[in-house]
Amino acid sequence: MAALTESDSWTGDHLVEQGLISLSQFDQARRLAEQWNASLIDVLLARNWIDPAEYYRSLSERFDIEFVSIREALPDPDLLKEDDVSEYMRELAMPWRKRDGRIVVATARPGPECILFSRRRWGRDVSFVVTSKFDIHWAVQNVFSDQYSQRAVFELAERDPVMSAQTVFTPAQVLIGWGLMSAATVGLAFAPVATLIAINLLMSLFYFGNFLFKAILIWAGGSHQTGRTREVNAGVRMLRDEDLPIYTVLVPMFREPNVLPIITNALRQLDYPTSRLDIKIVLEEGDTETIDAAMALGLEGIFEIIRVSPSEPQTKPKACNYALRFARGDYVVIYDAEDKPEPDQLKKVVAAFRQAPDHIACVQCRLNYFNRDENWLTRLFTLDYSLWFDLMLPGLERLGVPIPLGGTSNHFRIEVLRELHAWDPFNVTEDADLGIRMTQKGYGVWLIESTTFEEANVSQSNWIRQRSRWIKGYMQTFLVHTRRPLHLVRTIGPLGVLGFVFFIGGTMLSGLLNPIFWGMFAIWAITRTTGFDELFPPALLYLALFNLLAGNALITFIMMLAPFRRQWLELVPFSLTAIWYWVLMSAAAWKAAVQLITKPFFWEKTDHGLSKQTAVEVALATGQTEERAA
Amino acid sequence: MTLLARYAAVLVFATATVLVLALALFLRAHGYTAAGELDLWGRTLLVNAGVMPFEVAATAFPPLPQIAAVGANWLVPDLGPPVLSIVVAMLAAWLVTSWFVMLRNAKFGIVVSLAATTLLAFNPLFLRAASEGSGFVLLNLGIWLLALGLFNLRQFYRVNDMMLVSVALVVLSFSHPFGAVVAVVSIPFLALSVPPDLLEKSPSGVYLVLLFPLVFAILSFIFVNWILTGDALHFLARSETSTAFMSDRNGVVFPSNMLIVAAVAATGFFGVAPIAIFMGVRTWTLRPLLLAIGGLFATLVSAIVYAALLGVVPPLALAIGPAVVIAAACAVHWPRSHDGQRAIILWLAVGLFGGTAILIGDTSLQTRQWRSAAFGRETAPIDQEQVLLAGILAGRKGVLLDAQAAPALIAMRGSADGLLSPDAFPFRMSALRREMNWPIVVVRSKMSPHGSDRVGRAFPELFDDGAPGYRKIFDGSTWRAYQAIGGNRS
Repeated sequence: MAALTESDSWTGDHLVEQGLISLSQFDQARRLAEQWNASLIDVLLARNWIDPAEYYRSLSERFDIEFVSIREALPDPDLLKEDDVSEYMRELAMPWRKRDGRIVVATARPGPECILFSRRRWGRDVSFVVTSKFDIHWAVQNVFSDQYSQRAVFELAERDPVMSAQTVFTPAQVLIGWGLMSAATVGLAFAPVATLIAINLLMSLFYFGNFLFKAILIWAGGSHQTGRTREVNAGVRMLRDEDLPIYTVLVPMFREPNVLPIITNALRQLDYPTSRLDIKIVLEEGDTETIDAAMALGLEGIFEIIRVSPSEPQTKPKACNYALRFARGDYVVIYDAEDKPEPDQLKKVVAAFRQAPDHIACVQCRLNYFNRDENWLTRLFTLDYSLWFDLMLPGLERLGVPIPLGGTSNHFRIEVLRELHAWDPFNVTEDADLGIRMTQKGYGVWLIESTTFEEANVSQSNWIRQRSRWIKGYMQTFLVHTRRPLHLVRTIGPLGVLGFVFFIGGTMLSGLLNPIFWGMFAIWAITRTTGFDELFPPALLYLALFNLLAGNALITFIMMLAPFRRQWLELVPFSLTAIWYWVLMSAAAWKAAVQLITKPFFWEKTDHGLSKQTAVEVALATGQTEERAA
Repeated sequence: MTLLARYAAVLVFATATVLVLALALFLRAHGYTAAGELDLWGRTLLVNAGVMPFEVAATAFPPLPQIAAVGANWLVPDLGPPVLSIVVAMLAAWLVTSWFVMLRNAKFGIVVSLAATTLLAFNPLFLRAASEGSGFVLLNLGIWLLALGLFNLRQFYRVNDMMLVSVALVVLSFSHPFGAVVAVVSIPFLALSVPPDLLEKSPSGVYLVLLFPLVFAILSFIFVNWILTGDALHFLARSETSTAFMSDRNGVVFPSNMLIVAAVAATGFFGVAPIAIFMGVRTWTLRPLLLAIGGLFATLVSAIVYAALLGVVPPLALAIGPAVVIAAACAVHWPRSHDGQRAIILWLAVGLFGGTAILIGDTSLQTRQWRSAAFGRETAPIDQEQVLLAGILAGRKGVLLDAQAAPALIAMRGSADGLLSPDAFPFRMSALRREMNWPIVVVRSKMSPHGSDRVGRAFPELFDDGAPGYRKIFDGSTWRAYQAIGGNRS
């Protein structure tokens, strides 16, 4: 346990003298600050025991230094250096302006430490003004927003262009595609039956491989994880609060004012010292409704708002890249606006990172839904997610296949994330891409048993929009990582490539191909036509029959197994209706394919807050916030 | 698994394959071939020679042995009947190897694991099953998967165990009619091994997961029958011929009183798997293990009773055979203790003696012949008439024969070359015109247990009266063969 710094002690005494906090609050805050190895002010602000405006004004009186809102009296941009921003954020001190030839430092933490730092950094001849932490963040964002925005968009494309989805199809890919299409056209013109049989055979083999791979994956995933769960839980019990690192939580939001209370309340309930949390609500500058909602919530000091200046593409990864510049943590996690992570998630992740080998750079937690019983779609979506996160991803990890990360609740070592130039803003499933990129760069992903609950889509049209974005992102990811096939084999191994092809390629391709086979089957079943007979010579017929029967049975069966881990067996009968879910998936796949050509970087926005359960969650969260404020 | 353990497993697999294969070849050399295997091999020859369409094999019940046989023969066509024995030997060896590997995984020493595996593999009932063909080996494999799933399900709550149980039910149902009975009667007993909280929460959900693959597989099989033959229940019409050789209702082994059958089955079970009783006693307080043992015991005994009622029960030694596999499952799940290893070896050794006693006590014709051949004595084939007929037909061309009605005859003949099928268009035309113009015609008596074959139905007087221009070259109580007088016809 670290003792309070001298300036914290002074500040505490001063605040008590001024009647801004009670003695018992001071005692408690001191104990927590010592226990968490945090500053007293961070604890007071994190606990909402003091109003930030009153605190900074009082601080200015205490030190007899002028209070300046540098949001209004903007700093001189020539004094600020982009490379020093992380230092400004850490020390909460930055050069503001020059007065009479002296640099005036704006600080939110005045005291001997700040004087020492400033003199070392800007020379002995400095003077000070007090400002708020919020103002410092705001001012830095204002000054550097253009550069940060530029970097957020183009850093990966400039530094590692082959890994960026900015170029949708490379010339080689276009050439190969053109070659295949030409071969098929020539074949259809001169030997139509043989060509169709060959195409049919390729598709049937792909289906067969896909089913086989999924069966192996589920088997591997089912027998995985128990040991790690025990170890991680034991690790959590060994953690001491004072040893916990600073944890950055990024919450990118866009036009989601309604669900904001859910995430803020869930973050307050995290079992993690609040002063060790660096929470950033990342909002688009033009999204006034969400910014207003965030302001209206009167969020306490641990929540920091990052405004992302408008630029194209307007995507979540770009917003995250932008916000990452301001991150102070050793680890960083992304949550969506309607997410409810389990309270001990961050501690579990810290424990997992400490137990993991050095090359593990990401820990993926599981996702599932809090409104699973709302309607047919939410039930199927829950089955789908349970299958994905509870069985398939553990299977991928066990088999050593690159893991396409899920949209949220993926926790990173921040230095690795920065080394990899973070997320690709041109890829609309940036996390999936990052998972593959990480593996190619020699890093690994671990999965742990901690769940973040989200809102499942309740509307089919909204679901198709969301799924079309995911599938389009998978297409982008597939195209990016197959640009250098030999490099891919070298970096992730033959099994990894096979898994990548079937898992990423299979997910998108089966959605595209299914309607073709369903159509043929329906026509045959209704008309009993013999028109397709030529396309199915005996061996192919048996393979197609096997795929039709065993394949569909397998996919339905694994969907039935999906809720087993969570004991949600009441969902099992719904897997028998999965056929319509697959139809929706195919609709999304075709939409994605069209968009890949026409609008590759367009972020198909999913509307959140449509669920009745979400309304309940919001009411609950708002109530708890009010209770806490009272 | 360490490298050494992998080598050991490979060695066990190789040894077991060689031993089971050697046993099969030894038995064949002394005149014993399982009737089911002859039928299977005959159909395989017919399919791969194109005399019988693949659809017939794909729609035959049970389909798994048939598809495995056709596949193996298609892959290695020159190997002849031994290819089936190799497939069977490898399946049996896989089973034996999995016992060894799981014993090692359960932290038993290599010597104890090898000793236990040897005692199980050399149990005469296992050897009897392993030399009875792919159907029985697959049945035992199904029992093994079922046992593993049931032992683990309640303990570990893993989806893998749900998968094991579900897949086991499919393997059992599609490998042998007796297996199908085992799968069906096991359904109520599965509840004993399912975690009680899951069962309480959603019994329908649990059973839907467990039974979905089986139900879907049955529906798929019906669909395949419909697609390929135009009759969804085609396999039922042919099931009598497929299962006839398995029935043993001579009243010696299985009396008509089902209580006595149950008592025989229960006694047999405990004779072969005494380890189950002592494990039950020892794990009295460990309900997951106790209930798994109870469920497996109840399943096997009930299956024998129901199979006896339905007339598909195999000879006693084969019906009780799965108890060896259950004994293996008990051994790998034996709770860890200092005296565990000795106890396992002891009870498996007792089971080996129990298995020997049952094999000796089994008075069915098939088991008697197996015993005789196993002791190196020459045995007469069960169907002597077919052997003689096959000898006459061997090497001849232009033989019209309803081979689907007697696939074993083709296996004995050694080849499907030179056969004409009643499925062929010329035969159908000739039947309509009531003209016969083939060099050799073989017909089955309408008085035989299975009635007339298609040749007999097309030419009803042929068996008794022959045909003008043909002379009888074989005269048996079930089969007769006629040859055209005066040279070849086309």
